[in-house]
Amino acid sequence: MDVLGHLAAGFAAALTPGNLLMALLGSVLGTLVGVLPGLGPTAAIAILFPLTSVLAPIPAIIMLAGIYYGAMYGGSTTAILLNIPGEVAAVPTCLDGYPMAQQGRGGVALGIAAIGSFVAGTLGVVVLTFFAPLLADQALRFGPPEYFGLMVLALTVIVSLAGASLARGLAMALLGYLVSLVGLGPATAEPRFTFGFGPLMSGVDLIALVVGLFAISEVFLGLEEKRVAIAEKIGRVFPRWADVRQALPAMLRGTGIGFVLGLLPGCAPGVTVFMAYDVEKRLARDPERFGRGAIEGVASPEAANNATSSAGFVPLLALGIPASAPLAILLGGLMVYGLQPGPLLFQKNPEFVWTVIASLYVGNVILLILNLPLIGLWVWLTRVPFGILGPAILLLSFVGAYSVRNSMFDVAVSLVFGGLGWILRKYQWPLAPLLLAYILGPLLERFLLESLSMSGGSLGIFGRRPLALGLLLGAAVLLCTSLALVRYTQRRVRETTAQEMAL
Amino acid sequence: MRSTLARLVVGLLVLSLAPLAAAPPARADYPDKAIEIVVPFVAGGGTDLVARLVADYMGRKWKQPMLVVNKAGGGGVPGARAALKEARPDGYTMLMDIHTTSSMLIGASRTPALVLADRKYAGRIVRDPMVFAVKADAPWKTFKELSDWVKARPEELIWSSVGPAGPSRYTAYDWFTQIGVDPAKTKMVITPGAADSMQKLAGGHVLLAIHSVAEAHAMQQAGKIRVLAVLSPARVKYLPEVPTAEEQGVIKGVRVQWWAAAAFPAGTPETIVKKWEGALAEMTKDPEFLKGAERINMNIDFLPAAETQKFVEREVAGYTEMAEKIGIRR
Amino acid sequence: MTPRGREGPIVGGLLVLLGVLALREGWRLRELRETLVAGAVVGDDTFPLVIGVALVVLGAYMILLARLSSPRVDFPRGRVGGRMLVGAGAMVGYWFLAPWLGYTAATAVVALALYRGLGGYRWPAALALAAVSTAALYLMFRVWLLQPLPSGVLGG
Repeated sequence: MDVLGHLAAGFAAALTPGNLLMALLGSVLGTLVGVLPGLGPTAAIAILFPLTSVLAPIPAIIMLAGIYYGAMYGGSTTAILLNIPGEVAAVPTCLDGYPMAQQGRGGVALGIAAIGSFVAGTLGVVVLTFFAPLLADQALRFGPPEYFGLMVLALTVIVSLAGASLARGLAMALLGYLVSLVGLGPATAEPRFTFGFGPLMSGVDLIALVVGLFAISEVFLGLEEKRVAIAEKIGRVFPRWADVRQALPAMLRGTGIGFVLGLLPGCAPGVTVFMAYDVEKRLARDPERFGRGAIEGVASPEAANNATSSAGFVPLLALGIPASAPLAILLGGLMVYGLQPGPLLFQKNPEFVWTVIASLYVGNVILLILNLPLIGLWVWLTRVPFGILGPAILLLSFVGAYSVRNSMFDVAVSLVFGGLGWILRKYQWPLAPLLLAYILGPLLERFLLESLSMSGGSLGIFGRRPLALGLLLGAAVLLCTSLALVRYTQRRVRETTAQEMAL
Repeated sequence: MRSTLARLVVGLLVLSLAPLAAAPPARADYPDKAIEIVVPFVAGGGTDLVARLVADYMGRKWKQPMLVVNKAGGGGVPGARAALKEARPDGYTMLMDIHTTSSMLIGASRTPALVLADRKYAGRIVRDPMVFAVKADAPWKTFKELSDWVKARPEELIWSSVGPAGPSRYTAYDWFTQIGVDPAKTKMVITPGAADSMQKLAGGHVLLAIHSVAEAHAMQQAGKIRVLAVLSPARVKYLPEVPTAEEQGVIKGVRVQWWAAAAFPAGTPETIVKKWEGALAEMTKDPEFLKGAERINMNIDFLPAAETQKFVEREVAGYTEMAEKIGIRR
Repeated sequence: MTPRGREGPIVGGLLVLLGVLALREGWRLRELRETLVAGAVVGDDTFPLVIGVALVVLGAYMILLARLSSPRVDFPRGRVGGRMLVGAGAMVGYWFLAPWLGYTAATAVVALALYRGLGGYRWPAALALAAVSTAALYLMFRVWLLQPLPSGVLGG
């Protein structure tokens, strides 16, 4: 049978009422948990995973995929309306989504995010449908030196995330890197920066960090500003045609970046969203609009996020390599049901693979038709008086930080970073570089160590591998252009407002 | 008016706390509430899959929820400590214990964070032998050929290990010393996990990877890699065509393998551990359970409590000696 | 705070301190590298050392050269300040209470403190909100999702 025949059979299975219901249920539950501040896709899948175990394999996986997509979207909702990303992938969405919400265009931002997610998700699944086994082999060509080049390239984004002051951005990035180093070293498993304190051996958990820096600090900042509701007027929900036209190229670019990079195992949405945001900022004729409600700044990372999520299914299904934490849990789910991912999966269980792929299409459609009307509900959530919302966010932050690793230490970490985040944000130190360095740092280190142990310590390995060399040269070029761009933006911003931009 | 409201509210609060009051149990038959199975690693990994399989079977058998709790990070030590030393020894917390958190940890450390006396084994569930794998189109057809090649040019061998002191490194050490190669001459690439290491092997970035059968099975079935030898006293059922290392006359004895056992805190009542031992023995004969194990390519090999204890003690001795010789015992 | 501000020197000083810390840690790890992986050129010490140097350099730059234009920052006083203190105190208290009282009971107490102290509701309303939140969290995480939350002496 050819691809289309398989796909048609898949759709026939995915559209049975039972499976359709599972996709719907998964999307709703995923969005619901994702909307809760501090609970991102990883937490959502991990928490909801046991619920699916009562189902047969196919409906269970369909539901899990729905939860995954739904939680991703739910995360951007809180990012836009509350400035609290559920996880790193939603951080760039905050940068422009929240200003849009403050300007009373929160509805439009949510609408564009939904449409962007839909466009990218669908395009991503189309490519997945036709090229999955083919693309998987390409991903294998990326060895440690190539990944190292890619990470260096991604790190240059820090420069443009730094805002007006490069020194501030670099300081935050170094801080983020320092935080990421806590734990066991990759080469010797020797504790680093733990100072003999046992719990630090597990390192600082990503969710605890995000919950502290964004959710907890947000409550205290909100209290100071005597904020009653986030946005008085949320504005229209359905974006105008002009908005869509403005955002569409950004969506497509975001999709492209997100998908291509998402094919590489290890390139999680946290990385691609920052790159997509950066590209938009670079391409814009007036980059100073970014950070203050540029619609492209919402459309592109949202698209990249969803495209990466879809692309992540390629290495997952075709090679059994999960690209991110939620996908790792999905992989576990597949294996529990006896579906060993790998090229063989396509031959041995075609009905399963194609049903899942078809249900990814279905899931994207469900999310779109679910979310556009439901935006009103999400918005209503943020209209809840601050006196209720604040305590509720704090209570949820506690569970959110705890349930990733079931550790009270992680809760303590989130409280500490809550205090730190509050001070940093008050003094307008940008948090995005901190997070980016925190995510990329350990990868950069690992790939460098791996590359050099392959070459016996010689740096020549980066010169001998054309792709790695190309990526490193690309990073150098990007660094120079970003520096120039930052200078330019800085001047323009000073001219217009005499104020500094910060996250 | 206000007092009525207040009373109503207090009532609500009390109502919401009611489940708490009902909680203190009248010690009935074990188990009378949910049991936590602590997995000191991330969800989706080998240990996690075994734990979920066990949870599924036991949950149905005892009609009580079995919660798989992932406490990942720190090489598994904090999670294992949480289960064995910080949890109440009442039989409602079980650790899915593996070599990494027991024998290997103790062998490589002069002052281990956990010792054997900290746990009571109810039984070993899985024993998963190590395999030597090369890329599918590699020039070596047998383990002997590879060994001869390495003997001739050790500095050209780039191989991937999972973690700096994991099973792969010990296995490789055993192999290198038995064929007379200086391990320091070869190039070891330390990877964070089996999936990552397999990917490097399939992509040709490393020449050799040493993993357990369950970890290597998928890539082997997919035709991306070739398994040259299995390090086991006898061939394993998932790879019947692959000869053992001893069969090929390269490595004698088996000192390293992947295994998983059910462990309880040292203070757990003996009756509860006995009950688990019996249930595990039954479980490992259950056709439904075995079918599940086959799906995740886990070699079920049950060992009763006392023998598990002896097995782990033997392993500790082996790892202590090897760690000392490699120079990683601290 | 003046435009030149004390922010540069203060933050710069902190960065230098952190840098020295990283350098010390890197130095300690350096000695281990060779013993554990023979002949390794880079290891767990490489990045701490690099980051340490970068932190010291950046810190020195901030102390000596950088002109950070500090934004005006007011710290909350009076009622808002009091509320924030109660909020922060409640969260810290939560951390201590949860393992001891158990998740649900601790949540009830902390929720009450938060709605009353941080939210500024009167007792009846705060009680009602705390009861509803606790019940909702209990039903969602304990009953429905069966999360292994701290159980404490009350077993809840």
